[in-house]
Amino acid sequence: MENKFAVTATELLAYASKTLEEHGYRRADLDLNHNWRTVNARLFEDDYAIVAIVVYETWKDLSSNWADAQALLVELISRYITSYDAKSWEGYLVLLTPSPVGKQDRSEIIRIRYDISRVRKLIATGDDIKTLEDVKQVLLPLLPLQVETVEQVGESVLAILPNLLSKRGLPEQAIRVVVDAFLEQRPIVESLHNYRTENENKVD
Amino acid sequence: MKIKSIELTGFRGFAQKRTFDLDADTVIIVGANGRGKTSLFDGIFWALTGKIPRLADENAIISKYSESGEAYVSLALRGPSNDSCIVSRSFDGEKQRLRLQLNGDVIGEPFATTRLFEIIWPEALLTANSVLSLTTAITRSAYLQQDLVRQFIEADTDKDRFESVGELVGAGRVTELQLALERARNAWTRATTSSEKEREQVRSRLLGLKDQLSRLASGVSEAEVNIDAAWAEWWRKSLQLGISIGQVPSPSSLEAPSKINEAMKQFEVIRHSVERKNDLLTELLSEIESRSTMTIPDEEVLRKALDKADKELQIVREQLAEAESQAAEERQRKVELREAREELRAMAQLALRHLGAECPVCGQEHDRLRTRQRLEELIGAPADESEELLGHQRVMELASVLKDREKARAAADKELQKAMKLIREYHQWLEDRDRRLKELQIETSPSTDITTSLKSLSRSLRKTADDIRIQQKRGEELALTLARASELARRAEVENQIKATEKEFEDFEKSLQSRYITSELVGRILDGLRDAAYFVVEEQLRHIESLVQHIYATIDPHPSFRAVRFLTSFYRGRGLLDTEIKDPFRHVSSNSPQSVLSSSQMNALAVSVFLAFNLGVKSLPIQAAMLDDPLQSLDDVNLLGLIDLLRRVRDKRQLFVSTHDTRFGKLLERKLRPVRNQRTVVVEFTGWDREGPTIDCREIKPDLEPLRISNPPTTGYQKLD
Repeated sequence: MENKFAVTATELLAYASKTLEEHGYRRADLDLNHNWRTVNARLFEDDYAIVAIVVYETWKDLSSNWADAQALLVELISRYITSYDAKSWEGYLVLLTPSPVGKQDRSEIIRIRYDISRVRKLIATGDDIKTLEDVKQVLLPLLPLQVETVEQVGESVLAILPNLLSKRGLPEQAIRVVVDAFLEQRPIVESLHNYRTENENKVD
Repeated sequence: MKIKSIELTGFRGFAQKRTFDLDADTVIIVGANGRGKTSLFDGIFWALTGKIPRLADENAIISKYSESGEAYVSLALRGPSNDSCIVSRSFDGEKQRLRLQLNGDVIGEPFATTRLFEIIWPEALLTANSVLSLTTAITRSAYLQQDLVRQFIEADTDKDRFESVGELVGAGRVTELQLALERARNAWTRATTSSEKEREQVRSRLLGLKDQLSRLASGVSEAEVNIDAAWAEWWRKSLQLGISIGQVPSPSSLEAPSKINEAMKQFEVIRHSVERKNDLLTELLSEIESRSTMTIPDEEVLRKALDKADKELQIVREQLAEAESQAAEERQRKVELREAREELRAMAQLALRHLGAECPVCGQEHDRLRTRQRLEELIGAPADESEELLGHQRVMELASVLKDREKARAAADKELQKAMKLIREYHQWLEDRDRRLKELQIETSPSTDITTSLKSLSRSLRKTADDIRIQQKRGEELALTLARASELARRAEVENQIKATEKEFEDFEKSLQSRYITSELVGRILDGLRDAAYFVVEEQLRHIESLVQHIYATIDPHPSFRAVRFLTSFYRGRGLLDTEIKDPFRHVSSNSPQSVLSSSQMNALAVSVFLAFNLGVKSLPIQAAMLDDPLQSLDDVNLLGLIDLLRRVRDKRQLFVSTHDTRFGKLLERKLRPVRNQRTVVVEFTGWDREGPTIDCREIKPDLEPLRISNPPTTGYQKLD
């Protein structure tokens, strides 16, 4: 059965840990108690949240033991943070297993997700994780928004026109001349004409 | 631009002045419904746009309890370089007034509106309806209105969605560029057409010059046109003949043709005058010669003849009168005799009828036979007519003579009258002759032989006319030579003009060919631009799509439909946009999310799309995300997911979020607490009366050392257990 899983529990834990660390989380190497050591778990913290990643080999392990993991996390938070501290409400439990879930247990996943009585749970099983990249999707609620995407989109539409139209067979630099003339409110066709005559052999 | 503060007076729920410090990374607005949360958002929106689209009646923005009857909002903004911009807008029920204060400089209408657009959303100025463009941009990307959270996904059509996104990502600029390029191409085409006309004019001019060249004299030598000597001689003679031309020009001078032309005209006038004078003179001479053979009658002789005729006529008249008198006496006598004879005959006839033996008168006896004889002789005696015929004959003869004399007298008189008329006519002619001689300026004297003088003068005039004719002919020859010389020069000039015009024509041809190539390129670019707006939106959507996917996954609202993508299509020149949710592992999808997702999940999706546009569009009107009560209808998981997301959003945008639920308010305060150098402000609407809401504004103390476990504070830290 285990051979059927493309991603192992170790890989899941390693990738999830790496992802969090890459996005500003710090690993908490505390003197964790025995129960923590027995599970495949890591603890992380950033300015807002305390995140515990717990990976189970099988869905069965997960469904049987996630409550213990939650209890351990709550206990840990309470050890370090007072209940008056807003951060004491910021516990996140990431429950992962490479094992798929049978149809009869899908409702159990929803039940766990919707149980927010103590901490918020992010849960993914072998049904959701086909590659390591899928782990990042699970962790998204904990990660900062990707800045590079925002900046990419912010480009002026006119600035992307030359490249866009060049893909449709139009001379890119000529389009750039047209756009520049339009933006600078210069005579457009005249600017294009001057450019074309000055670069007679470059524009067709 | 970020929001620093806002002041509202008479606006919506704010009857009296309220000022809010909003200069924070996060502004949490809490309050029960109807206490002014939405009015605060509306105030920001209205200050920027001058519109609140969901309010049909513009007067609804004025508070019913406004003391001035006006609505006034002043919104303070801060630019990326700490520039200050205060937007103040008021409305008195009839007119809006906008005032800007840019780093202390005040700008009023009519420039304030345009300047505001330039500052916050220059794209709008390129659209047909700038205000609509701005309101759309804000509602799609910056201000998520309470009642319109899911409008973009649920209510808008695929076309509306595409257009609003197009506007948001600035695709309208592509259309503007397309329109500007079309206008520019039209102008370019007009200029090209004008240039073509100019080229045709040059071509026409060139043909004209060539035609002119073909008609200009060729093969004329310089020697042939050397006329200096003949020119001088001609002018000398011409001046002698009375030509007045001022300074005689040289034959090579520019005025030579016109001078000779003028001289020729003068010659024509002079010759015409001389010939006319000679005609008059000849005519006069002819008259004089014909008069010289004419006999003038002697009036005296004729008058004497007339006197004689008068006398003879008088004599005859007298004789006739005498004869008529005698004839009358004779007729009287004859009448008397005839009357006596008639009386005797009547008496004899009576006596004869009564003749008896005795005289019936005296009663005496008589010889009756003799008496009868006597009486019959008296009755039968003839009348004596001879004397009468003699008197009358005489009268008749004299009357005949009188008639002859009268005729003779009339003839003499007629002769005299005729002579007198001739004499008068002759004298008149003499006067006329003298006048004409005077007009011809011919002096006369009794000793002058007029005929001889006239003949001499006529000869002189004919000679002058002949001289002029010869001079005219020479003049024409000279003018022709001059013209040829001029044509020679003109030919060289035309040849030069042809060369220059041919060069000009070639330049036009080259220029036009180049313009045609540019026109063709513009046409291709325009073809590309017609679809470019669609591709631009599609391109931008691909970027935003990854963002919306990221955000949607961050909230993680649905256990299986975890992917979102935008479906774009191009139909009849218009872009269409749908939102599709997808199960990435089972390849199940739906472009009608409302049919798959719960209300809470739909809200999460709608907020995801809104935030994606908010974060995905760099040039937002304001660098803020304003969400008016977005937590309604969200279940616990989605609520936490959204709030966790908002915590991340505020790293990129100034965040405004409101809730009507106090518990959610507390949750927001905890979740959106400031860490390190962040600032979070809570605006709590605790009540409302006719003056406006009662407000509790407070700032949440920032967490300066937020790490508790992984990096515990070096001081004051202690393990709780």
